[in-house]
Amino acid sequence: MRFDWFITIFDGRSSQTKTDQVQCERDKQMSSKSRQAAARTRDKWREKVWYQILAPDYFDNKVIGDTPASDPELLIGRTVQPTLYDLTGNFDQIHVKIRFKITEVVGQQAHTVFHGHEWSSDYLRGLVRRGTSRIDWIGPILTKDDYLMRISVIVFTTSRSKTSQEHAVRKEIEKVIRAHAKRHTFNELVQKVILGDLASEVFEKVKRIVPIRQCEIRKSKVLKGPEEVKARRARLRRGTSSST
Amino acid sequence: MSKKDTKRDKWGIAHIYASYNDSIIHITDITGAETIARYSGGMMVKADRNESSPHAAMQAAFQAAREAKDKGIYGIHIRVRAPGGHGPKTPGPGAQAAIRALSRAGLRIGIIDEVTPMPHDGTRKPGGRRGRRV
Repeated sequence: MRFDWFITIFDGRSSQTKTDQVQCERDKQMSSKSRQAAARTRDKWREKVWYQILAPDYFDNKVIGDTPASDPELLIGRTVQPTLYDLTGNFDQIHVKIRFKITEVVGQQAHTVFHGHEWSSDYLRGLVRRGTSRIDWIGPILTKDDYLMRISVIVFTTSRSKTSQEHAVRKEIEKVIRAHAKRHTFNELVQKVILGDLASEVFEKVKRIVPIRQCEIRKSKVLKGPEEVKARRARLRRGTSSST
Repeated sequence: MSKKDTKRDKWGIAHIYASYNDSIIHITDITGAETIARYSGGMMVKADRNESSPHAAMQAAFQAAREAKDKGIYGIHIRVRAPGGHGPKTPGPGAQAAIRALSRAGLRIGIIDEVTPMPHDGTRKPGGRRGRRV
């Protein structure tokens, strides 16, 4: 193989086929070797049981897929990322990727909770156009039942907007979203975010400020559950009382 | 691709990492927690400079697909990535060949995604201001 370089320089074509032959021979050896390795690890694989993953209640407990595990304890904390199309069957929603996290296992079935959603990057890239503005608002919100989420709203205008308009739009988005977050529990809010109800309400408010093409919730993420939020709040309260 | 009629068929994810130095094909279950098969271009060829070649990627993909099918995988979603970060952001030569080989091997292909990690302003690229001086 040391002279490969010279051969390629002098006649690329013939040496290419020669190396291919060598590779093919090696492949044969490799495959037999890998088969032996597979036989050794086969036992471990056989022990694993396939568990069904179910979507949360508000997606009709639909089966997302299967995952193998040797111990049901190991399932907890795994995340799945199906598209919204898989859950609803609506082809327009194929660009939305949802993330579910497994929280508990009952028998052969693993139950999940919502853990965030995101647009596919190529869909987002297709929407950004020259001569129009893209206004983002990203902020953490606290739901009625103490879930801390981070929500990213994106607004596309029909023409290039002034900075003052952008500021006004961001202010308005924040107002609408915070008002909704306070009123709804986590499960209600997730449905509103995913199915676009919240986005359309933001749209109604924002279109009075500046003509817009599209307004949507691009990404969301669950940062903390109610226990963590409560623990943090208690810690903060203790901290302030001790300092004063 | 719809999950309704293929309810009992198992799906997986093929993570394809294609850089200019190697290509790695790693098939996992849909959660990404359990490995089903993993092969790289370097396992298929002898010369170091061929590790990233389309031929090596193809061989690796075929091997991975065979092992996955043995373990009962029916179809796969694909996640392609390049090195990303401060390195090159476009997948190397092995990516295309690997995807082609996976579909040729008889696995159903679901969603093809690009998941190259993009920095939202990260660290400085090595090489310094005047570039790498060889």
